[in-house]
Amino acid sequence: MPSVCLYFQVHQPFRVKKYSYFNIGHDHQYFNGEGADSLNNRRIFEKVAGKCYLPANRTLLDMLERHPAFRASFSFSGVFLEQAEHYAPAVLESFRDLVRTGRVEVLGETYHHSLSFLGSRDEFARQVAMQGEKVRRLFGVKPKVFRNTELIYSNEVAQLAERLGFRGILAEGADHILGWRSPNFVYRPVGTKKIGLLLKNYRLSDDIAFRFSSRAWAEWPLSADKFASWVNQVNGNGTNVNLFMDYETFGEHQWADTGIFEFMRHLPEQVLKHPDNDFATPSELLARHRPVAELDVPHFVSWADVERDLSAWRGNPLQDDAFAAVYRLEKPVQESGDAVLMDDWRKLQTSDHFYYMCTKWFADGDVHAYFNPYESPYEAFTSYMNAVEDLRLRLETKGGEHV
Amino acid sequence: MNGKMTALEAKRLLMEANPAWKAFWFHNGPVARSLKQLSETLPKVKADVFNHHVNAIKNDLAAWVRDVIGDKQLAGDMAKAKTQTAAADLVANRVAELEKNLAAEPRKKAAAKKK
Repeated sequence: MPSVCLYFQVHQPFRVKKYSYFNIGHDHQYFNGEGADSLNNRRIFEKVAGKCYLPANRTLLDMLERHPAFRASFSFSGVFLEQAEHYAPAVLESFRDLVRTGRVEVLGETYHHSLSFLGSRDEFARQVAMQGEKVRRLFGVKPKVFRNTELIYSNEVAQLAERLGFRGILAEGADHILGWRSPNFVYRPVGTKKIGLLLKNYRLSDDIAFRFSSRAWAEWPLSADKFASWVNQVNGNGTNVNLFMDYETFGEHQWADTGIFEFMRHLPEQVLKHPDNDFATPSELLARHRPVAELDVPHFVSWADVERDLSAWRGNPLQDDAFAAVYRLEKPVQESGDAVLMDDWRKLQTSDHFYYMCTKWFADGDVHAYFNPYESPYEAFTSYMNAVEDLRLRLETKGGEHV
Repeated sequence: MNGKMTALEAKRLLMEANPAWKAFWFHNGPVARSLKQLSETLPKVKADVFNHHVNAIKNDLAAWVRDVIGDKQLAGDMAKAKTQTAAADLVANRVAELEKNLAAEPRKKAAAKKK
């Protein structure tokens, strides 16, 4: 019997405003873009709250109330939660309502939605602890299953997550790591003893997240009963169907007029029509099913782009320079003991900054352009590097030594 | 096929239904739990599905036949097959060979009993 495992990523970065060379040295507010541009974080948050978070949470709460068997899970970046607290407390409260049902699991991740696993394992562990603490404080629960930023995963990520106390980890069910295997089982990461690996069924996930409104798609329009029939096909050939996606799929990537909310609203009853189907949270899946086999993933995979690798964030010299520049400041930032400097440094680690510098303009070009608030990757790079340089100067001033 | 293979071994290679997690999971498509099922499915999958599993970088079919079915001879041959027709023919021939081997077994037993 396949259990449908819904996992939604909820994140909004603190975008760096247009920060020119002339800002360096006197303007230390990197994230306070104002006006009508796409770098105004408050404006963006309020827009997405109205289009996605609030209506999607209402839909989900309705689904939970009508279907006792329905389950879902979320991970919230700490920077999302901060913005929710400041810009839209009603959004935070509506997520709390979902978690209070006891049938919505909150997962662990890095507080700053960062690439810190690639830059500094110490910083990674600190950010995971920070996010766990924030979740505990806001939702009263302790994350037991981990998902790394952008589902970046390898054996090493799983091994470290196990050492940090997690019992499960999420990853992309990328073709090149699966080969002939199915993503619809629980696996054991190589080099671990206790942690279970849940893989995204990317075909079914992307049918909702990317193809749902595409009229060029042969399966358009996608109805809940049609989708449930695809889930039913897994019966006998898998224990779980993991549907992992950005929460902004609902209302923001797929607008309300595409019917996405109605699709979701009807999904539980259609899935549950088959007596062998149900829904499960990641922790429930791991409690029910022992791993069927070890899965060896020596190289990084992610859920981004057709390559499912790191090239969305670490694929060109601009990104590599920016990445090196920010992690070069780790030691002086830590030594400074200055909470404000530390906070700015961490906000500059958010993966989105590097994504905006991506210069891939082939198959994934449309996706990158859609998500990029800057006019070009070079503009993103310039603003970012100027902000990092200002931070470096502040550290130098603070510490009195050359950084 | 090597003549030393026992009927039991031939039967195992041919028909053993592996647990679901050991099935060959065709991308966007059906699953095959045994060599027999693979011989029925492989000719029918779309070309892009075949190419998804067999390309310059990998050959999932050969890996599955080697690691799950345990038929090293067929796996070696399939590793060299670059087209869907060639791969399907190899599996079909192997299945026919194993079935022949199995069908001959009762006759062999009867002849031995007579003697």
